[in-house]
Amino acid sequence: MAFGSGAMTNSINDLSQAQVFLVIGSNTTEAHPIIGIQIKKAVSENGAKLIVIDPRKIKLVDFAHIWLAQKPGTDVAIINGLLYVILSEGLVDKKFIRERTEGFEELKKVLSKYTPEAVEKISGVSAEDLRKAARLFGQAKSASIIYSMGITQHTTGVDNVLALANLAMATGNIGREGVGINPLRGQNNVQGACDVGCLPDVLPGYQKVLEEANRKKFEQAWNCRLPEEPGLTVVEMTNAALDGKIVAMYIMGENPMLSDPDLTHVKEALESLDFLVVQDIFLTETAELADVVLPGVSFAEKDGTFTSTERRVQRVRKVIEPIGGARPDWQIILEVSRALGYSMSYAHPSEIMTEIASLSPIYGGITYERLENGGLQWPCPTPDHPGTPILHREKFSRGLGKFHPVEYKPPAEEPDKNYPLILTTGRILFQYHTGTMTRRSEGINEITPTRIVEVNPNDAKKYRIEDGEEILVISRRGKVKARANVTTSIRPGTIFMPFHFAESAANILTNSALDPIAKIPELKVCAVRVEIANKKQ
Amino acid sequence: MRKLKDLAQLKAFQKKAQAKFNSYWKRVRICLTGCRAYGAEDVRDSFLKELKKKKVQNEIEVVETGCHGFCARAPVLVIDPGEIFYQRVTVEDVPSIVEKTLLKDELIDNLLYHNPETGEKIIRASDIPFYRKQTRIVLRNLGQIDPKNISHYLARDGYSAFVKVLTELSPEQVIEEIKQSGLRGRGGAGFPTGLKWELTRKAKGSKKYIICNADEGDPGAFMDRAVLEGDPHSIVEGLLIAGYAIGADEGYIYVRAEYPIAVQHVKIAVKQAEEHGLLGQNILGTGFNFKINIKEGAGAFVCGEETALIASIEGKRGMPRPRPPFPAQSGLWAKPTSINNVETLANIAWIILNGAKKFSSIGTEKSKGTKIFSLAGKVNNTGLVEVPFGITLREIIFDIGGGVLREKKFKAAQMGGPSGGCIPARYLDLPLDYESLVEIGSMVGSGGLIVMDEATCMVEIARFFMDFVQDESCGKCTPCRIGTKRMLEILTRATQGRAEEKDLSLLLELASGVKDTSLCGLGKTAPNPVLSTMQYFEDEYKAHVIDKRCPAFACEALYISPCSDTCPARTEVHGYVALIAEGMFKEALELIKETNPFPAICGRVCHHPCEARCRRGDIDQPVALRALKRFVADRELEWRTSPPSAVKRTKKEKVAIIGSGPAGLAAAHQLVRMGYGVTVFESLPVAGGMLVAGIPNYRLPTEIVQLEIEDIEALGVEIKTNTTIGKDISFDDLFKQGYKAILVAVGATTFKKMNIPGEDLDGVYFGLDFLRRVNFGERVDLGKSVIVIGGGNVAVDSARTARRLGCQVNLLYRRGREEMLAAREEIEYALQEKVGMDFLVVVTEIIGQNGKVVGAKCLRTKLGPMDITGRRQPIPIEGSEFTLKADSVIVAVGQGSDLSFLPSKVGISKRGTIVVDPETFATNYPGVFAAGDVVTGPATVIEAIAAGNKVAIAIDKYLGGTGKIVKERVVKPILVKSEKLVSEKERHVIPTISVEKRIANFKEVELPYSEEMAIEEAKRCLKCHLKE
Amino acid sequence: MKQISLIIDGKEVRVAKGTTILEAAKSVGIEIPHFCYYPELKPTAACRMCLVEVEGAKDLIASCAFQVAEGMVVRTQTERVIKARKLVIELLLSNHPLDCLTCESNGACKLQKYAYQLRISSSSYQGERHSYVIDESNPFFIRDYNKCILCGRCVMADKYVQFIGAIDYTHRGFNTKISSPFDRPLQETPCIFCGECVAVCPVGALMEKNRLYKGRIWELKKVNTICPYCGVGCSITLWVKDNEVIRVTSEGGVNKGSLCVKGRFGYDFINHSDRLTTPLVRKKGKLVEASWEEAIKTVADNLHKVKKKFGASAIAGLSSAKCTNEENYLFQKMMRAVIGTNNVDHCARL
Repeated sequence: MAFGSGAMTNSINDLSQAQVFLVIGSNTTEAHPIIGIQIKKAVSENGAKLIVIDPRKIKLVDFAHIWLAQKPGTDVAIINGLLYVILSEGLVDKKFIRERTEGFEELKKVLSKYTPEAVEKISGVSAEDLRKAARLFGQAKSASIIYSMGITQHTTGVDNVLALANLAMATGNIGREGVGINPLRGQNNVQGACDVGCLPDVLPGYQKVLEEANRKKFEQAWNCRLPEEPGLTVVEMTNAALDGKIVAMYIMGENPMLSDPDLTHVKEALESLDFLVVQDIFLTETAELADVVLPGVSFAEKDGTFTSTERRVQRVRKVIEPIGGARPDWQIILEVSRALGYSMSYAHPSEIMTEIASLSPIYGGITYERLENGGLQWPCPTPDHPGTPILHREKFSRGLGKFHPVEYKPPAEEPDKNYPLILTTGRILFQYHTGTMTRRSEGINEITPTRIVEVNPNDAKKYRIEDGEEILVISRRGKVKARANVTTSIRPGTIFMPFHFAESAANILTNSALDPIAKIPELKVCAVRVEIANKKQ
Repeated sequence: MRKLKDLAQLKAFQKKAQAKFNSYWKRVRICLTGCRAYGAEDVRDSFLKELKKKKVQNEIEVVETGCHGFCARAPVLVIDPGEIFYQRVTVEDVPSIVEKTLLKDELIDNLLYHNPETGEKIIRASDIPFYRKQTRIVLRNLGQIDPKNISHYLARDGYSAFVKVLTELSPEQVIEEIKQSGLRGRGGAGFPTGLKWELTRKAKGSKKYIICNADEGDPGAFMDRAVLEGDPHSIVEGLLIAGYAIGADEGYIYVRAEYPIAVQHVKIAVKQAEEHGLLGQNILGTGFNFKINIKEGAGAFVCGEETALIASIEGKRGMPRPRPPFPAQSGLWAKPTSINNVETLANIAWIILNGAKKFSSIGTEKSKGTKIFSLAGKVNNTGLVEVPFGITLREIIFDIGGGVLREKKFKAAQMGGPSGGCIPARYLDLPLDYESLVEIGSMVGSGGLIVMDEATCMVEIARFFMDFVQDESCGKCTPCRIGTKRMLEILTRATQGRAEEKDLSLLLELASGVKDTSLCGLGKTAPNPVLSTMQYFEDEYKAHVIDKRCPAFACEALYISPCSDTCPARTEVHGYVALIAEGMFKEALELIKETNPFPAICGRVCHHPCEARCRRGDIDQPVALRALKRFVADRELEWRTSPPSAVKRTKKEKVAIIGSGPAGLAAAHQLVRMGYGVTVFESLPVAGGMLVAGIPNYRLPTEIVQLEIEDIEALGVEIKTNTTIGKDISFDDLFKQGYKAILVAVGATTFKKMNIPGEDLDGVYFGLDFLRRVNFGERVDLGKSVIVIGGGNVAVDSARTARRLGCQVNLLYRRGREEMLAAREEIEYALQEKVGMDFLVVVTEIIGQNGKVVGAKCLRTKLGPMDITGRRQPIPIEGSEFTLKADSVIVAVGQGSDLSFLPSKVGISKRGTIVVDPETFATNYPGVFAAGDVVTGPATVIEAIAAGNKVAIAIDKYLGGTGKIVKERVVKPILVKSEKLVSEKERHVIPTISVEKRIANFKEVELPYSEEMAIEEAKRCLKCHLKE
Repeated sequence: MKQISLIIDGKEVRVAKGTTILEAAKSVGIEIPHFCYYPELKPTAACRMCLVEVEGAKDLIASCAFQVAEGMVVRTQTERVIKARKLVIELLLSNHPLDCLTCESNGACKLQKYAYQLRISSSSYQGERHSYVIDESNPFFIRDYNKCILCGRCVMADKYVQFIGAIDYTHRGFNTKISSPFDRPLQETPCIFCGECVAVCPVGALMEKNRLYKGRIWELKKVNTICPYCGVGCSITLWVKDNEVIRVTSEGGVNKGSLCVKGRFGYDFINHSDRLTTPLVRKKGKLVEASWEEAIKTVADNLHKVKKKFGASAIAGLSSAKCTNEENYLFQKMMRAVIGTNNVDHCARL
């Protein structure tokens, strides 16, 4: 919204040119270890400086020059506070603001409230540290912002992102090497799934459903009529199912029974469906609820492409024959479509890519031949276009970058007397998402610390929890048993759980409240209390 | 303490400190660093107590100083004024020191140093030979000041150099001054210090470091420690000046944590300097900032390597990295860094104050100034010595060090620790500097100097250092990690007798390979001890690997006992000693006779190398092995009833032996016992050769010789006297007479001339000829005064014989007494008998009048460097001519052999000896063998016996035998460990008749031990053969 | 970048300033043998295999660490150089089990390669050999200290690629080895099991457990593809035998050859026995095996039924962030064009 498109503005390999990194809401070394390496290397060997903003003492903190441990859900306040200092100390990039952006005056008005002292009250981050961080960021010739779900999985997720955009634009850190706003995508092909239209409001290549011209183009190409209204997002689907508005679902390679917030609710929703098809490689928690289960194949058994977090489209190659009677997912879709009366005929995934390229300008120049020797970063509109490592070089996708004044809003659920602690969730290095793959890797499971809940020693003392003890974590939506890991790496008043483990699924506890625009659930903040599990009651 | 804010304040403060330091009534300077181990703390305490008791604690100052250097005499103290040096002071001595010396100015004799050579007592420290040859620059304050007191340092011009630098010199000028001085790194490699500073100064970057490398790790080296302990401010000042010169505002002292006193004193010094404003921001108002950090190293040898040291300071494992980049470009935290050794830095202030010129006037062309050596090992005066470059090892070890411990023979010096090499005696006179030492395979290194005597095994030394290096290798590079291990394994095998001959070439290959390929200095120099010992002591390696023998008797697996192994005839010395201790005299004698048919003779005249190697000698005196042998031999001769019975002839072959000296008769003894027919031909009327003709009766009575020869004859040996081969029988006739083998053992019976004018004058005699004539009862008229020329046994025998003929005797020798080849006790006896001896004199002409000797023209000599034989050559001093009067002259300067009777086929060497195969003793004439002096040149009785034994075996083999000597009886001495009780008594002095009685006639001088004495003496044996 | 001219083995070479001798030689096709040198790692000059002679230098020079200089004359094949190489190989072999017959590294081992080139089959230097117990304490790889040549690549990768510091040189002299502090299992160290150490090991000291005894290196098929885990898009190479993935490596890509624990070791799932191999259809409340025809028909019939009864907007589809672009494209096309709804999403937000 600020620049006109949502993806990593820069490339992984130019991160190393940044003088300052601002890592916020990203446990990079655990969730994106390879990018973590780049940051560690730049800091250790190139003299780059690192600011980490995270309620947990993540590994990167060991490399950081400044660590701000905020209360979860207060990111807007912090970022506005940084901007306040940058502005008041004259560290903004006036030329950039003048030439490349609009709306700065409006922003200024909003910022005036966010003095470091005010921000300290909201976030718990000391005013002094905030100033230091702001100066470090503001004085850098090139500063790169890296974030992930810690920013987006909030009811204020969009505000968070917009605030970061404000910060980058105000300091001129856009459109060059070693700068930018760099959201790190959680899964191998989230970027690609979005790019090719698996979103309810856009057709492939982010072409809005609501625009008729877009629909026409696709209707012509696909030889069909297309619905005019945007559809439902994941969490909305769950709610709609419970409301009886969604009656059948087709789930391909997803496991909402672990990944979605408020799992009790999700289960109810799926069970209420008349018909559920699940296509997957394992009998997941979700597949167990299905009426039909279709065996797909793993990435090693098919050809295709993935698009990485840096917008790089890369070739996936078939390595082995499908296991047993499993079939490549694209072939299954072809057959289901055919059975539904719509014939699609592609002899090979490359032909599908040809179709994508013809309909989606950002992929316009992409062919399998070109991908043979390394990937291409979109936008790549024509067959001779070299791809785009850095976005917004000369101008933003939308022309001028727009400052969006955003205000701090508290999270949907704040701690109270009954639920005095904040639960935040996240990933750990050794597991991946809902564990469909990693929980079936023997070695990985052997070394994974499972069913962990991190508790600050202060809280442990308060609730008389011993390190390693089984505790119950209880939210308004349910309770989960887990083992307490008493550690100073989490701030007092907050506990942390990874969400990978079905046996103590953090998402039973999480809140499904959504960001009003992006519809992302607030997985990073909910109110909980803890109890000792085996206490006789 | 108020901070000194500017130069004026410092100068005022310094003046005050000087005034205070120089005004005292009495002061006791006591070493409280190195001497602590010997109880210096208690001595100090008792001083304080005693002074208080006498109520003079405020008048008399006790200064706790650093090391005085003379560690062999610890604890030491010096009393001012007067610089009175007291040594080996104990708590018990303190009251009298206070009472007498401090309060009454009286000296205490037994605490003074006595020159062991002259016996003279020395009062002042600086008059002691140990200090006299030293030049103390680095050690200028050691022993003088209290290292914990900055005022003392200031009083002795401390920090004046720093002030001079700050006020008068630009950094470039400082660097120039150091460059001009020629100072080179004292850590070992000798890189020019000024150049190092210049490179660091010129390197890009604003932040720079100076590091003091105090990671002293060489075994035996402790000069850095002593400087840090005894004068830490000199290092602080050195660092300040260095920091100023290179543009560093921060310095490190990397000191090993195993030096707690050094660490403590350095910390105190840094703190004091900070408190006085000599460290910190804006020092003395000049704008110069400097900070010193102290980093305690964990004691890894490799951390002395500069890149490893840097890694260690940075908190990493101390491992070297490749250079370039050199620290001067990229050092600590990748900033330009100069790393200088403690001793280097301690020189800096002196150079600045005294000028580069003065410094560079000391030393050699390429190595300027002084070097401290840690003198250790088998040397009398162990300690720290600071000497100018260019000094010789001899001066260090003998003049300063007081020579080898217990007057043993110097074998080698290990210099430069595990990176250095062993220097053999032949380089004792080499002027030492960086280059000369590298040239001979060693290095200055950090200055460790370990003196080794003949009891040090060079293979074991190489093994020891390799073990050290292997232990200390950081393991990073392949050659050092595995190569040194393989070398260590070979060396270990060698010292255990498990090495094979090919191991030697593998070892050499490895050593040169590891040297060539290792990453850092540690690995590159690790093979030096091996390479240098292999170069200079190849024989010793061969002895270990091929003969499975350790000539130094250090490798337990490779010797039986030092005494037995030393005996050329391999007599089982420890065995007979044990039997004597048990009272089993007969068995003891039988054991001796296995290898030596002449116990009574050897018990009198053997030069007993066994005693020289007796380990008891390291404690007090060696066991009197010769006297014990004589005791059992005499006792048997006295008690026995009949000579031994004849051996049965079992072999048909006959052997002819020409010469009835010890070699010929020993061979005859063994051959007859093997069952051969043996005939000995002797041209003189009596058998015994040199034993009867060359050795005077007062040492070896003729009847003793005859008794032992009779025993050999009794076994079946036929001796034909008055039979000269070549005259009475032709050589070739011997074969015709049926002898299957001929042994030539005619000895060295002819004398050598000096080839100077006057040798043919009347009254000139030649040693051997003279002795033979006297022994055979000929009258020889020597006149009143005699000059004897020579330093061997013949010369001393001639001199003593001449005394017995009633003459005044003056023995002249061209070398010193140390160099005399005659047996020690013979020289001693000669002196007792008032034989005059004049050393370092060479006779250039014998003067005659009317064809008769009247005197000799002489020149004084001095000793020059060693030649290849390891002996120092006398150099005549020009203009030192003088004349001595004498009625006769006895020339005893050498012997030769008369071989004119031999067929021309027999090969003769240039030296006039017979050439034989060293294994088979065969000459190039089939069936003809030779042994003894005729092969080796003049040697000793026991060596001749050993040669006789060996040639008998060779002849047996030649005649088809097995070469095994038949043992008549196996004697198994009862030797159990429980009986390993060692008598603590001192050696029984060998009884002699009085000097007056001696010179009146030719009676035997020495008397035998009594039975009680013999048993007592035998019990002194340490039983080295049992090992542990 | 300034260019430097030098001569290596008589060949004129021009390279950028800052290039090492070893790299300069490589640029003209002269291979200088090496163990510790690895392009992505800082040179340590530890193994001493790459020593060369440089005119004017007294000592042999470690070509991996020494930068070229104008006019330098380098010789890589002199007698002295060959002797040094032989020494290094013989020393290493003298403490090596020489069990190439069963070693997984057979055919890919640098020690074997150079020994072969230098015609060394056994060492002249015999002596103690270490016989350490093979460290099998972690689930991913074994560390066989007996085969370790202490080149230190793993330490450098751990320290300067991954910045972890779980392993380092320990002990001294011949007993030096690479280990965790106090030889603790890696699980008790900061190790993140990225396997970088395994990847750079030039011999068989570090070896993935999964590949053990499953095939000789030359029997395996290699296919380049992209890692299926997080969104970084690391290039990986799968090593396959008998339709089974037994090893993952990486060269180049955005990840420059580095991987994380999942990328390198998390691929058991591909050939896992739990894999669905046949369609399932719920009958009488239970999922039972069914033919593809039956399953597809059931799906089509039911979707058809729902669409007819409730309209297309009563159907929703979740696509997958794990599937390919092509599959995702087809899925949304199916939802939109075939079923007729925009109710299509995936877990991008989760």
